[in-house]
Amino acid sequence: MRIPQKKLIFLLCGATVVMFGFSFALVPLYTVFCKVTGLNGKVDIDGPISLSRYRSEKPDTTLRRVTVEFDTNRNQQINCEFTPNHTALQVVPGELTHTSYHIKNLSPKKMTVQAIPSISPGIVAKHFQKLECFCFSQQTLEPGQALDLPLRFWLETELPNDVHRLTLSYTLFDVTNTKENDT
Amino acid sequence: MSLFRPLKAIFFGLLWVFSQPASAAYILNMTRGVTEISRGMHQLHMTIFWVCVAIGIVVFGVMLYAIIWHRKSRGATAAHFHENTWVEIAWTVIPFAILIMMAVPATQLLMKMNDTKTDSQLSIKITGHQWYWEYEYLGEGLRFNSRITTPDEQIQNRDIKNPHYLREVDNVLVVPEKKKIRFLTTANDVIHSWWVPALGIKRDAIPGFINEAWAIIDEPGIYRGQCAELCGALHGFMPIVVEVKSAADYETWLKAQKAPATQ
Amino acid sequence: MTSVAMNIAEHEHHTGPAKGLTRWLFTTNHKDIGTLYLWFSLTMFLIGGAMAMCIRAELFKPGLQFFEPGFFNQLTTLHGLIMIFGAVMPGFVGLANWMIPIMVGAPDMALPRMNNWSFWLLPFAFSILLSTLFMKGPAPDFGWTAYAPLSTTYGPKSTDFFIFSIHLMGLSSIMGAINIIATILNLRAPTMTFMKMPIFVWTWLITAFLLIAIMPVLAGVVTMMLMDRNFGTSFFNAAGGGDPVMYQHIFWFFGHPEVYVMILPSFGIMSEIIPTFSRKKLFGYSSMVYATSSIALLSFLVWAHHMFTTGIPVVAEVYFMLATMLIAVPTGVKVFNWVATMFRGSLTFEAPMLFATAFVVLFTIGGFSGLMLAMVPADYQYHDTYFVVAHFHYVLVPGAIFGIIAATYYWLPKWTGHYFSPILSKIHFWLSAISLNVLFFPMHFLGLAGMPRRIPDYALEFADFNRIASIGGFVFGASQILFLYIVIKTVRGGEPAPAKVWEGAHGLEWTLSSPPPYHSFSTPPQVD
Repeated sequence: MRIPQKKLIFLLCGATVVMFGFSFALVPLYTVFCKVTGLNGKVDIDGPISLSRYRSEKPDTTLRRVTVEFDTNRNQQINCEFTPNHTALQVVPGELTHTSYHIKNLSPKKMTVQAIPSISPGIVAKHFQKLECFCFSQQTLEPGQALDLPLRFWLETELPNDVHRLTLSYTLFDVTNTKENDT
Repeated sequence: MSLFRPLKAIFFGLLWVFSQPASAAYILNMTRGVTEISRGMHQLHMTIFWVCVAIGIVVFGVMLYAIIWHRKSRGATAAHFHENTWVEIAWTVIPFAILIMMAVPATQLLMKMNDTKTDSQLSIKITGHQWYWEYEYLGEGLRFNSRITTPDEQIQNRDIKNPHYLREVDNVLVVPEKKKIRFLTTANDVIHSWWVPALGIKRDAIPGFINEAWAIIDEPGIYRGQCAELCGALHGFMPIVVEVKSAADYETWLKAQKAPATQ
Repeated sequence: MTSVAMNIAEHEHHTGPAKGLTRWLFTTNHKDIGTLYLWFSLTMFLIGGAMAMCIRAELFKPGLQFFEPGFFNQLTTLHGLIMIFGAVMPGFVGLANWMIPIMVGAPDMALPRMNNWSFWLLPFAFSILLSTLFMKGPAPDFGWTAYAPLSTTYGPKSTDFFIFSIHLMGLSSIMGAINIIATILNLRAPTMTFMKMPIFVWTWLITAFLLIAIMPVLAGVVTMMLMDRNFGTSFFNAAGGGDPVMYQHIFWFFGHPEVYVMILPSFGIMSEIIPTFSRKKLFGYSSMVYATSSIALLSFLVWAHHMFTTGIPVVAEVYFMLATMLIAVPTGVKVFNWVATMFRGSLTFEAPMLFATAFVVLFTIGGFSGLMLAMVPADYQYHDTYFVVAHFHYVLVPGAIFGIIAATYYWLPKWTGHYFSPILSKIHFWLSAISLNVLFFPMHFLGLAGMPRRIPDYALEFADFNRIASIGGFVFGASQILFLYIVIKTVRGGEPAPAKVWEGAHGLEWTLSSPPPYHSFSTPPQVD
């Protein structure tokens, strides 16, 4: 099998370019894969699930309860307080649950922060729906300012039956000086 | 120059080495550990190991035979075969079957490791920092850092190294025996990894994400580990010490910790 | 440049190669370029080896003796990068350049001028990489795997030079791969069908396709690193919605096929050497071709076996475990075929065959530890420990490096026209083979005992085997100086070698004189 030289070189160079593009295509591919499978416990921060979707959710008719633990982290130990107002709640799958977090800027400068959620076990992530979450947007706090940030969510009734406990963990990042800052 | 003697020496040497009882100095094998999972890991390791030894004996045995008996200097003349369809099929299918047999216990153990059917009784959040660990007992309001305490004089070779050199910390992680404990890992900066061989737990600690592993520890005692993911200059200096107490002793300890306010 | 090159080409055509430095800077001759790659590979092997000696010196005893922990991380990082991208890959490319045109009956590579470029990019790239040791601030110190965010948010300034250097190395590999594919597909002698090609040519054809598929992915992931570091993107930064684990997925999508790039040419070399010294045709030629192709294909489907402890879902862990185990089947077929070639042959053990025999045994041992690593639950105890270090050094040192050394001994008389000293080569073999086992076998025990990777100091229970390993390391390192001596000595003189250097040798390269003419096969040969 002999291929004309110029055509072969062209094809091989083309393959090189395609593979370079493929590596960048892996980025959105990975994100989609994570959303669909709940890989890595990645939880959506794009925006709230609509209320109508919640209203169509059928509540669990069994007496099933799931413990949801609320955990917080401050990346690089940024100078603020960040604690959950409930450390754990007994939740009924299908029912809307409301909790909140306390955050206080302890530094002498204005601070913009982004909360990034993560859930364990990872398989739970795609069943965790947030109606309202402070992680959907960045929060800016004046020095000394404290906020009470709400979270409203429900667990889908499709949650596997053998899950009794899950941990929702938020990590707070300081994005004051970065390009992610949209103020 | 005969290849036979050195190969024979290596083979018998290995056999001798593996039949030695482990002394503190020359540890040869993985720990059995103190959890059902760690024992399962050890068992799986030994099973695969012996399968590999068996295959090695067969393959290297045939080679050794050829090296001794099919040498030109011994007067051997070369045969002319260079294919045999049945033999080739056999040595494709048989290894494939052996692999399937190995995969079954491995998958079963893996499923057990991911079991969420039984609820846990304690959740401990572990945060990797450059270069120490932070432990938080979720729901108990108890949190503390755990840093290496080996003196610099020992590390710089100005003083004799103590028996727990590089594996000692100021605040150990105390947990109860025989209760299902969830270990949640995350990190403050770069990726670290929390590893205690005796508990059969190694989980990467990734900034912005939370991972989990569970253990039910059978025996009280002190178990040591260290960071298992390159995390910067002092990666080798972030040990882990877990002290497992009886349920009653653990409760006593916990109460004592919570009495003064702890950061 | 073009007019100078044209003058030199005319010059070569009439009176042989140019003289002096100009010859080596501007050569388009595949034999010269092969020689350049091989000397470059040997040099980098000794530099990377010197770093390994430093590492083993530090690890000889517990405590910090010679290096700050931060510098130790730079040593391990550069040792890995230099060995992989500077010693092993260029070594195999050098062998490809020298031997493929001759083996297929072609006058030269398909693209001789690009061939020159492919080589000269490498000293340039490695000067940049090594210069990071002399910059203010640390050289790259995050391991050759460069995980984010250690290499992105927390990486030193030299990281950007590391990224540039990787781009150049990748470009060199890609151009080399394109050249090799074009040569093999289009420049074969008319009667040489695919299934008549030497196995070394087959393994390089497959390796070249792997390189084209994966080097651009490496380029992509280091570009993402560059963007995260300098242009405010968040590919791997959780703060901006990115994911450090995604770095690992993309890196290992390159990284796993990469290790097959580093071993397939060695498989090819063994398939040339073993039949020659067994005086018997290779057993199962077609299954060797199919097995190599299956290994190459499967290599794209197993990348996450490097990531079992990162928290990937259990379904993924089961899949990657099974796919990884599957690679053992075609690999086993190859090992059985080599043994079946030796069985009932008429064996002699000159240096190439000594290295080839050791390869079969020791690479197989590396394969066994690889199979153990594939078992996910057990891997939780092996991952990121010295058990992994033992595994990959067994497949890379008696695997890839012995492949290059065996090939050098096999073809050196052809290249130089002189036989090497049989006694010296055998001393080199025994010293290397024994010391590498003293060096790497104890690392299995260290990993099982609980010693993690990439640490400059360790708990006392690891001291005894570390001391033994270091002694093995020093002997192994010293033995390679002997190899350098043997190569130089043979280049300069020795017992004259005929065209058919080895009694049992078959193939086009043995029809040419030793050394072969500067231009071989201006008319294509007949192949039966």
